[in-house]
Amino acid sequence: MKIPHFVPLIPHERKKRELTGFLVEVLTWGYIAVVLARIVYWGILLPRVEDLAFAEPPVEWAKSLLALAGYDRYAEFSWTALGWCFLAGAGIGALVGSTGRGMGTWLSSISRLQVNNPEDSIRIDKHWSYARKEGLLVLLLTVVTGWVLTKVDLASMFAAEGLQGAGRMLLQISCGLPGVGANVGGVSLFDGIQGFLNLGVSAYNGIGGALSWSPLSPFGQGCVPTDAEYYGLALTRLSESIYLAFMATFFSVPIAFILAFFAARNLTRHSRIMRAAYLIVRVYINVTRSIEPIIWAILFAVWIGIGPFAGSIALMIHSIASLVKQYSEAIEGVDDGPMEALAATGANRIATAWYAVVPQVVLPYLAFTIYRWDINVRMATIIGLVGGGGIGGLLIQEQGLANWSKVGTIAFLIFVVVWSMDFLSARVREAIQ
Amino acid sequence: MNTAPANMVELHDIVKVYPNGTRALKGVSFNVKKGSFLAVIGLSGSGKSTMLRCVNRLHQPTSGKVIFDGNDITHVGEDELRHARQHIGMVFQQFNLIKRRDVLTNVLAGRLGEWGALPFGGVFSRWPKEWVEEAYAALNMVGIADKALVRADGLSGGQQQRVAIARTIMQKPKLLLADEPVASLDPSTSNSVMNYLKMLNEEHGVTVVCNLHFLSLVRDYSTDVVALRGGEKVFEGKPTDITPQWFKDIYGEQAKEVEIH
Repeated sequence: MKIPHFVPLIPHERKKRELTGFLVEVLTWGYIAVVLARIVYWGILLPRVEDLAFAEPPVEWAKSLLALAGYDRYAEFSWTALGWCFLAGAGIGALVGSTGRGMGTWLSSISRLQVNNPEDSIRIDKHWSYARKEGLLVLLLTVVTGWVLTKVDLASMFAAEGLQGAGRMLLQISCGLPGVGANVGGVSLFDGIQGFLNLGVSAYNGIGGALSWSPLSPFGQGCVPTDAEYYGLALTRLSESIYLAFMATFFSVPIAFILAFFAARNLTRHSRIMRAAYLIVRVYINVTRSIEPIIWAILFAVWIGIGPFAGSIALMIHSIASLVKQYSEAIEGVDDGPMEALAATGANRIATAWYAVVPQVVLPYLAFTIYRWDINVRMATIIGLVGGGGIGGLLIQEQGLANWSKVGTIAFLIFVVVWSMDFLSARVREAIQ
Repeated sequence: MNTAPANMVELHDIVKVYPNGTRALKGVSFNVKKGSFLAVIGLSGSGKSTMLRCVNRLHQPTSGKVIFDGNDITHVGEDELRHARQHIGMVFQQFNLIKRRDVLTNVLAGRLGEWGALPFGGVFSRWPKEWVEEAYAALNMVGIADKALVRADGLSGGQQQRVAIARTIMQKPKLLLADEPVASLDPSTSNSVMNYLKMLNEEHGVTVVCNLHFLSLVRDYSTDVVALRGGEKVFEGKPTDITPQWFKDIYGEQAKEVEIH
């Protein structure tokens, strides 16, 4: 587990790094063993053998192989076996780790220190040649595992029924966009899209005819554009979303403003009480921020009832946490010269923060706040999915009824609002910076 | 205590070790007599700034004692420390003004110490009328009263340093700590800033401790000199005592004196 002397490391960290490297190596090999067992053995090999063993007629060698593995009928995956695999892997890892050449040691030896001697860099390169191979193996195994676990199925992506279903939905959605279904001189954009998709159908049938696939019927749908009344309804609900986002942002600003001072490292170092406050605020914002607003909306929809109020509270909880984080980082980045100067005059800490810190952070705060409103408008459009009010509720309702053209209309309106908010907020932020 | 102490500041064996292990000061002791203009010289990194910040405890000394005007302030609590700091002005190399506020606010901020006992440090209070008048008077003393309502970052370096001095005047300090006040100014501006410090020293009886780089300025303005090297005091005396040999001792063999007047 010793890291050779030519690998540059901070001297007093060397022991720690060596130990870390060894532990990472053990874990890495445990992982390799578990993955090999779970994916290659239980996931790929055993099912194949099973298929053969229970095929008609059964393949004898596969049957005896299954019996050899200790299964009389189905191969059941077991946690205990997996545990033993991990231990076995860890054993190998310990052996590899003790040589000091493994990937774990390699990773833990990476530091910002520069190698000055060119000969050393060659030696280092040679030293880690095994580690690189191990890294490649881990990467490869992980990709294979991912492939199996996410059930990658390329065939289904190109299955004819799926494609045709998607085509129908696409047509209906596009019908909901304003202007697409409008009839101009006997032709509409909708007819154009349908004709284009039918080209694909013809091509499929052309190739399929030669290969004797069953032919697909061409798309032949009508388009009834969304009526103006529905636009009115959708716009009402959309404005609910925008105002919900505004309320959430507006009320989170003063709270975040105050909390941010307690979440900034440079203002909370001096006393035990402030360090405790720092810890509490940081824990609070990390917890609330790591839970997505949509989860908060589910909670508040149950607590205070379905509607925009629940949605705005949910967004507010999340906004406070995010703003405190950004605000406090702005505070940590201020020039501490003015703070030093005011502290030197005997001003107390609140006055120092107010006169020396606040003027420096007002503009960044404004930019963060506008950006947060922008994000909140985007979030507000989907928070209705779980009962948070706004356009999202309407969206999920139409999706449930398979009213795809109305879904298209809503998606279009959301796009317009989010895009213009994005544009506006970018312009404003540019102007004030 | 019947007799007022003769020394404004006494440093006893000040040691400062930074958290990263750097020993910036290795036991420095000296006294600053009342009414004197003490220049502290030494190379960059010799501990001058650290020493100055130990006096008003912007940096807490690792060990040693700081006596200010007869009171040991090395370990006093925050309230008492603030009280002491109200009498200790400070000007900095980088001026350290509130850049986005006007000059007047910057000068008035020198008085914030008097609001220390208010619940929010006076954040919600209005500046008293008399203070504003005094602030204008202080700005007049340094000759930039006409800039009172200009934002501080709109001023030149020399003007900013004068605002910083006005802020200190507002404080009515007994002691002024100046941390390389002219190091980022051109020679003629340097002289005018040094003259304002001299004026405070001579006409207002403010004791001055000033970190300086140029020996010529030391000879022109100071009454006493302390030299630091590598965190230790290597010289203490009058500016006229600095011989070429001393100069080499302080700044190293390779050094050559550069003059500005």
